[in-house]
Amino acid sequence: MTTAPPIVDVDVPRFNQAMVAFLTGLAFLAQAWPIVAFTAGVLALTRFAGPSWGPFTQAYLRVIRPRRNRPLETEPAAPPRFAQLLGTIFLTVASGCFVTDWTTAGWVVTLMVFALALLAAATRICVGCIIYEKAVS
Amino acid sequence: MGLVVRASVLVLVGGGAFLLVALWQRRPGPAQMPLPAGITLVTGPGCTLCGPVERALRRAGVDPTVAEVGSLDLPGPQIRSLPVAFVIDDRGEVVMRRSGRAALEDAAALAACANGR
Repeated sequence: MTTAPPIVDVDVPRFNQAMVAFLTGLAFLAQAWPIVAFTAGVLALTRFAGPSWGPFTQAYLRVIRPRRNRPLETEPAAPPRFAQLLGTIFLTVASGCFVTDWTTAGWVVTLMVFALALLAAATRICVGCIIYEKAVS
Repeated sequence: MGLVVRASVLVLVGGGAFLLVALWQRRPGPAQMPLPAGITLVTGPGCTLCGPVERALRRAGVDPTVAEVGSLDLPGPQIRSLPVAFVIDDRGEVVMRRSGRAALEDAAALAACANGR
């Protein structure tokens, strides 16, 4: 387990959010709930074991960032980490719904995560981050 | 549920989230107040000089109304940040707009004018 840094490249959470939106959308299209459980697992691993264990974070840092020719822009890491925790909880609840045969409830929760992740990735409006900042202030 | 229906649901959910945020961003702010009598020191994000200018005005015997830029019914485009200090009168005319230490000297000169000296 590694300690999370206090600041983060702004594109790391955005890439994570884009991947969450893509995977949850794909899961819904294919009606394949194991993809939801997989996404929950990846988020949980990143959140609790540290960013160096996060597949999406590592994919961005190793593959995409070296190819981007622009200055590094950072932001405090705590708000996106809190948003990631919310995403983990919601997708875990959705997975639990699928396992217990509450399929409709599972898809409703999954689509909520899809919508919020898409919004955050496309516009940087991160609802989990806003909740965190309101709670702190 | 067919693939086309599921794709439509995805588009609706994603589009709905964007629509809700757009409506939220365009919500009306608090009612703006008319310009108060006398002179008003306009404050806002980024106005590091506002505090010193206010003190300079008060030291010179002028008691300005201090108002946040977003709360005033000002003509022209909406101002979101204030890298300069500026003081307006009750007709909305800018009577002082300066940056740097000159703002403090101007505040004293402005106070002298306001006091009829």
